[in-house]
Amino acid sequence: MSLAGKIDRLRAASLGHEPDAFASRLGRLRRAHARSATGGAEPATLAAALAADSAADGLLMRVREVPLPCDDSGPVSLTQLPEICELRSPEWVYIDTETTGLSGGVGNLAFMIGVARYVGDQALEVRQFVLANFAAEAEMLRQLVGWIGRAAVLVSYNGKCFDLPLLAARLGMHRIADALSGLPHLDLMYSVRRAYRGRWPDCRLQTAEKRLLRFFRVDDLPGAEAPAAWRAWLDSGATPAMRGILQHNLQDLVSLACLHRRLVDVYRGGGRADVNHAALGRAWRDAGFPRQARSVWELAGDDLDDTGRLLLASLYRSQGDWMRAEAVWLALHARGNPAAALELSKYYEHRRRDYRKAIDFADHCEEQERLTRCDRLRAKVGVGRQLHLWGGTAEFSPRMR
Amino acid sequence: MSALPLPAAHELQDPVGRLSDRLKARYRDRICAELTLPAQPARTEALPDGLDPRLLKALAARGIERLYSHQAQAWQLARQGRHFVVVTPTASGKTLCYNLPVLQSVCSGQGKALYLFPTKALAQDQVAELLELNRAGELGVRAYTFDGDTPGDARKAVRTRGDIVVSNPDMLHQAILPHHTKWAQFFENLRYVVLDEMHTYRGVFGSHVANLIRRLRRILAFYGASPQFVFCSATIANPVELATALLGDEVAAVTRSGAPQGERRLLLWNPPVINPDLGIRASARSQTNRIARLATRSGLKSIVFARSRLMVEVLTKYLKDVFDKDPRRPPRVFAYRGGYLPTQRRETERRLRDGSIDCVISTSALELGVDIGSLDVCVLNGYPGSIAATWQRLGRAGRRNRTSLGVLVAGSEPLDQYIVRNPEFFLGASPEHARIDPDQLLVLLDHVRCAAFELPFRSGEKFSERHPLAQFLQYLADEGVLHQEGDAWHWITDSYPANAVSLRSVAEGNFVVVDQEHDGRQVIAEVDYSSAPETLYEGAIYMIQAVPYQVESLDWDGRKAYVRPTRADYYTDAVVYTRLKILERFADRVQAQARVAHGEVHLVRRFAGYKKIRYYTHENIGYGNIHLPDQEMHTTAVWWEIKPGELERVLPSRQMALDGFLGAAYAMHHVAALQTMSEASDLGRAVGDGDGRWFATQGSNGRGQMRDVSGDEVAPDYQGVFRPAVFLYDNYPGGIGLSEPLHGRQAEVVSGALELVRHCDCRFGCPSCVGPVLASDEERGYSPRDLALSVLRLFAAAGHAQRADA
Repeated sequence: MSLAGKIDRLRAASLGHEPDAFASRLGRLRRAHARSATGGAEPATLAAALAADSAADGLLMRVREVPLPCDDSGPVSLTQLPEICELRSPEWVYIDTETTGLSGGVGNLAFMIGVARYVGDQALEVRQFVLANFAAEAEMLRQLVGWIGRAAVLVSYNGKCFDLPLLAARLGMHRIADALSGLPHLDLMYSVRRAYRGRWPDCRLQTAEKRLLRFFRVDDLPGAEAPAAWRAWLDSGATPAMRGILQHNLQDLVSLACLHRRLVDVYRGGGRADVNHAALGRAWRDAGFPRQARSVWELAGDDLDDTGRLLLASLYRSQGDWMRAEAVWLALHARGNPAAALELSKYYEHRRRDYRKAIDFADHCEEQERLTRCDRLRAKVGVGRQLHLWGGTAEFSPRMR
Repeated sequence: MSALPLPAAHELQDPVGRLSDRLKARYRDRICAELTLPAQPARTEALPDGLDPRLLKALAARGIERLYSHQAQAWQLARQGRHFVVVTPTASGKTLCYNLPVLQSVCSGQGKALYLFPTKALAQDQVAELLELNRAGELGVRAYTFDGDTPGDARKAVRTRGDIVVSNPDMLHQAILPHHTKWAQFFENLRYVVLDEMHTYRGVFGSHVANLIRRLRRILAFYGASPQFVFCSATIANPVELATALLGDEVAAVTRSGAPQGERRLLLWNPPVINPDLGIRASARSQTNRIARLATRSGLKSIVFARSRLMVEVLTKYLKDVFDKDPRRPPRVFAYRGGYLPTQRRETERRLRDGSIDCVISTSALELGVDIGSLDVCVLNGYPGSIAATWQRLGRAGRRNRTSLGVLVAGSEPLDQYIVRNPEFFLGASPEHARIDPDQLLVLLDHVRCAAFELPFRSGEKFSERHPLAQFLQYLADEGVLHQEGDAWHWITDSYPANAVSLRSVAEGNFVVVDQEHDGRQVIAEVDYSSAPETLYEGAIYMIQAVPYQVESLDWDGRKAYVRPTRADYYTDAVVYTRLKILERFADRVQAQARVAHGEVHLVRRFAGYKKIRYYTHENIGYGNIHLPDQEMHTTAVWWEIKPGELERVLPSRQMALDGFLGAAYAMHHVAALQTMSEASDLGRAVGDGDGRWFATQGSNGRGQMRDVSGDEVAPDYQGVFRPAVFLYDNYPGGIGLSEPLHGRQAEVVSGALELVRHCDCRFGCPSCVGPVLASDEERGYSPRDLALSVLRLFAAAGHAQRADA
């Protein structure tokens, strides 16, 4: 008995259901048949179908100049995002890969890699590498690394967790030095998530396209079908799905560039009501740009939530602008916000040294704070508990909760 | 501490010897055998030249000025660049055999090391020891564990900065090899790979680990590294053979310990029989309790090993009731087991080392690795399951210049009873052969798949010596997993194959056992597909560490069994009709009256129902139905038949023959499990004829029944040809290499079974020899035990053997 037959028999018996083994055998025969019918896929066929050039044996390349369909006016400084604000005249390279799998590990490869850089302000030079076979992968990676160069700033969508580790693994498989992982890298998915997590149903690239760019793809082949597309090419020489993936990849790169511009706008305070302004400003503040943070929060106006207001007030306080800080706190306190009451209590205790008012505010803090603060403050003013219960605080005290 | 009056001077010299003499005098009838291993002086050699000065300092700080001979021998082999295996007793300084060359290599910048331990806990102990040496000599060696608990942000540091990485096979399989490019730097500089506790790599697990080593070496070759492999093992019969099979390369051996050893006495203790009809003995627990009490009263430090956590708690309570009654005094008795908080365990370890504990009761948790100083007396409550484990546990007692005492208290299980009656096992060469089959088709296929993911195969590459790789690659290509391009086979499917391969099973689709008591989600065990139907049917009592759970529902397709803890006073035993058909005979051995063969069989198992059997009395208290589909399997088996004519001469009635065969099969099954170092469930047994026309089962009256293909009972006397056979088969699809060596050692299996049955103290048969006997002698008119003996004698036919290989 053949080895395959033996294994089938063992597996069928061990799994207890013969039909599966039968189905898998059938699938096997079908694939074997498809292979023998086409006798291997010729790179030239794929090149013709994709209108691509041959860059090396088995490696195709398509270069296109694509005008950006963004509707913003005039050049903007694309470094105006918290993570990359300090970069001087960066050389942006947008990158997106199509792979044989999403499962991680060294076994999956990118059979298509799209990269793009600016030509002027309103157009991209898009370069797409496509593998017609496995053997050309090393050459593709070498050309890719060479084209990207050592001065680039990579821009991707989820590239930090997916595309770059995958490329690093594949470079390792071919023992090519990994010149990519060390480059500065802006992953727009993080920027989008920070601004819209919990406010959108998800933060996938296509969701961001629809909501921020008003792009609606027509006849798009989803990226999840990429593995099957390449496989169909390898197994039977079929090219239509590969054409679809090539187009999808190009669209992703264009979207990346437009999204980049739009996010700069959002992070300057130009977002709509659905954006999490508090988080944006915090990102600016934590990156060391308080002025941008303040501007984002102030521009948000009524759209700023309480978290954002507290952040804004503490920014005012740290800048010594006590008046503005107190105004924000008082407004929040009027709505019954205990954190604002705490800030006011501290402010009156340490800054204004008005302990009675400090006690009044302390009385509206969260339970734990309230008890310790009130006790300490009362000790400071030397008044007993009963004294405090006597009125006179009504004008600063909001309605009791 | 103890309130005993001061002993006289001559008694002080050897309190352990005195205790042992007292036990022997008082309980002569319970002690089956006594063994004395003479004291052995230390054999040492000077520290080797050329050791790094920092290493010398570290050794000096630990009080090491010379090496034991086995450590020196290991050093020599390491210097010669050879792979080697070290087999020496517990506490003989085994770890220094590999730590010394490894640390020297790291200190001198000659390369890094990968340590693999079978479990996470052992790995962590090992790192603690390395760190201690490191501190003592300010070696600056970076040793890290890498396991499931290593946080994501620390993993990179382990990979890039670790000099010694301590991990386990599952991590290597699922996390390291499939991401080997991240480990490039580590692998390029790898000089040593150490596998400790090698004896645990046997059977299915061992077969997987051998393939894992193939994968590792393939990746190492990719990075231009070819490190030395060092194995360490407890005493088994075939350490070199096992190491060689795991590595697929020649391995040298270090087997003679140079560590000093005081005199060791071992008593094999059988609890007294309290019901001769049913062969019931007093519980091992009561005996263990008594011995531990005597030892503690004599002012000796003792350790008691129990086989379950529950038993640890029970024994601890009994002993605490005696010794820790006064809450004002510091406690003298402690329990130690998995499930306690790490801080509690560390505290108990510390107290053990500084000698403030008089008696510790533990599970196997204290068997390996953990440093607990040395004690005087070790009591084993029940046979630990293998001789290797028995010695490891006994090794916990014993000081350099003092006598130590071990007492093995037998339970009522067949293996326990067999062991205490065959003390030569503890003296002669170990009977335990650890077996693996790295070329098992399904296991091999799994690892070819994983290896192809890690690095494309090239035509002409080798992976297994036995099977040509090309056929596997073609199979995987046909399945759509690989794509052939030129002479390379590339991974083409979107999956991470290591996730689908468990190192502890053969077939896909393990069952998990879910405890509903704890949020309904806690997985408490995993059961191999092939043994699931006979252990996880609805209503089954499933034991984990001797704690009974009842299966409430079984989700066959979802591969889940939902259980709940129970207090049932019975256990369940599936009534399985196993029908075997011989497909191919590989080898045949013809003897005077019997014929023993090895080959491939097709077996069908039908799960007819289950019996509820009460503990201790073994009476049958009820039945239940099992609703499961028939299971089919191809596997390898060894079988014994009796030549035509001989059987009728000895056992005139076919009914008697059936009873005799069933009893013989029961005893042979347990002895075979012992010799192949496997669990009884790794092997299956069946009685029937080789064409699958009929098979035998034990009926509700305890008597053998003959059943036909459809499972209906038939009268034995109305059958035409009657040629019953005992089958022992590998209970895994495709086999796992257990039955083939059994064919080679068939004489030992039969003689072992003969011993077991012949020396049992029951009258007609009992669970300790031929299996539970339910009908009394009067009803049956003959003793099932005698029948089994008759069959076994025919199988044995020693001295007349002639060999005829088919």
